[in-house]
Amino acid sequence: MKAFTPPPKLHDLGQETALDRLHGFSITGNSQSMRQQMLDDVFVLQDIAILGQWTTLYASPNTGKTLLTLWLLGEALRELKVDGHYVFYVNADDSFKGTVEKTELAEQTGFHMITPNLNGFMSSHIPEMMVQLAVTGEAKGVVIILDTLKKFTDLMHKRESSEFGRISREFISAGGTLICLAHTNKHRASDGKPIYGGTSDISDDCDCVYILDKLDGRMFEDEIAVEFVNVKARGDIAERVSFSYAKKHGQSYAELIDSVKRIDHGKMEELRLSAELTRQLEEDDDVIASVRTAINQAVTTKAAIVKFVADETGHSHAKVRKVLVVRTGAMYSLGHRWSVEIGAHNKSTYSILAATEPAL
Amino acid sequence: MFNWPIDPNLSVTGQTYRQRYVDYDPLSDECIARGRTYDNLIRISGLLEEIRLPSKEHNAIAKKLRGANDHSSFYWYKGIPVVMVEPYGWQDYEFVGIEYLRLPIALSPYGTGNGHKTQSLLCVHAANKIVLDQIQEKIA
Repeated sequence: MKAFTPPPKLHDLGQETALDRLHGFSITGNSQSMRQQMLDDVFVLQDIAILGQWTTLYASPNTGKTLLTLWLLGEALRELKVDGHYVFYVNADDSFKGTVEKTELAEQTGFHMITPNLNGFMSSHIPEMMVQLAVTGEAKGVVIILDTLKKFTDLMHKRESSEFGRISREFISAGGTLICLAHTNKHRASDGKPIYGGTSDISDDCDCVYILDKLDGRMFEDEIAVEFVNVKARGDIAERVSFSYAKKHGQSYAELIDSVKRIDHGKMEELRLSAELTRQLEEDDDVIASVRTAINQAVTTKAAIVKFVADETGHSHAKVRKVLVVRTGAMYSLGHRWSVEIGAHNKSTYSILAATEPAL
Repeated sequence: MFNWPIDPNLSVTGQTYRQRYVDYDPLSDECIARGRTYDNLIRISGLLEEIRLPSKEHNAIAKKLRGANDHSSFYWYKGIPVVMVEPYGWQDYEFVGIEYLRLPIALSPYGTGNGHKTQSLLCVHAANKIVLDQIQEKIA
């Protein structure tokens, strides 16, 4: 009779088994050292980007994303909330003049500026450096700002974006901070709001996403308002933050950055209403012009105006009647364009309202 | 190999400036003067001494201070690392990527040691020069 001898198991041979490896991966028991490594909730960009997170800011070109990011970064550095020695702004989307101006700003404010093709740096170094910083444990406290993200990965390519997301997550898990500036899609959503460009991988993988939009509302001369709207959050960050800046012909970048101001919630609401009013007035532009023509031609009763305008513009009576009602009042700044007097037999007589303020 | 890097940073408690340079002979004129000047410097500048070792943030500065890295001590100024070195002599230094502030004699703690005069330099990474500006403002 042949004795049964079971084949030797790996653990009997002193070798590492899959279960041993799985146990090796467990971080249970490391919480104390992990807590020491954990970063406090410190804002790199006040109310927007937290230290130790990956934040992506989307905006269409010329919205002011670089300007506002640099201003917010300067604010944190001046208040010594962040150690500028570990902040690296990778400016990969600029002219040589722009690079010089922003490098001067970096020298004054106190952070490191990196630009492709200068001092041997290439955009392809970034993913490689992020991996190395994570592996060597040097990532903690390091802040990398990528302007703009499309220079480092193809946002339209799912696999590339996903791979970039994986590398970035390794960097973040090791205590690094990543802030990416990216472009919105050239087409807006049906509600008129901007949407991020590229595949959803970047916004899916990062911790926090803001979409920046210029507000068309009336500001002081040359002043532009921009609103940051949060669409993905992890941590105690603001839902909406707004800024303004003044863009003038011939001004230096330093002057432009000096013009940046925060806008409070009340002012922003006022601007938003103003922007909405401007949009509605533009939408009703042909009806308003036609109503004015009618009144100027002594067509002043409601029914006659509606018929006149509907014939001239081709809009339905209902639409014309609606505009006629909405634009009736005594406050030009609220979008009223004519006033009405109710006479005998409930007869309405319209007259054009004089513009008391510059037209919206 | 650990799958989570154990951070040896700040794992050992070292001695304070006072323990190293004052308390060894607390009744001597030299140490009394040093202790008093040091206390004044800390009170006026707002520096907070870091005695936990090793501190990689401070070591990153200290390793660039070749030739001047004598009687070094580590501090934080609102979260920014500052290294104070007190080399003998009164010469100027040029450190790559480092800015320093030479403290006035009245706030230079080490002062004279073994009959030789020292100078006290507060050193930061060049990007954090604003820290020296703020300290300068406080001591001016």
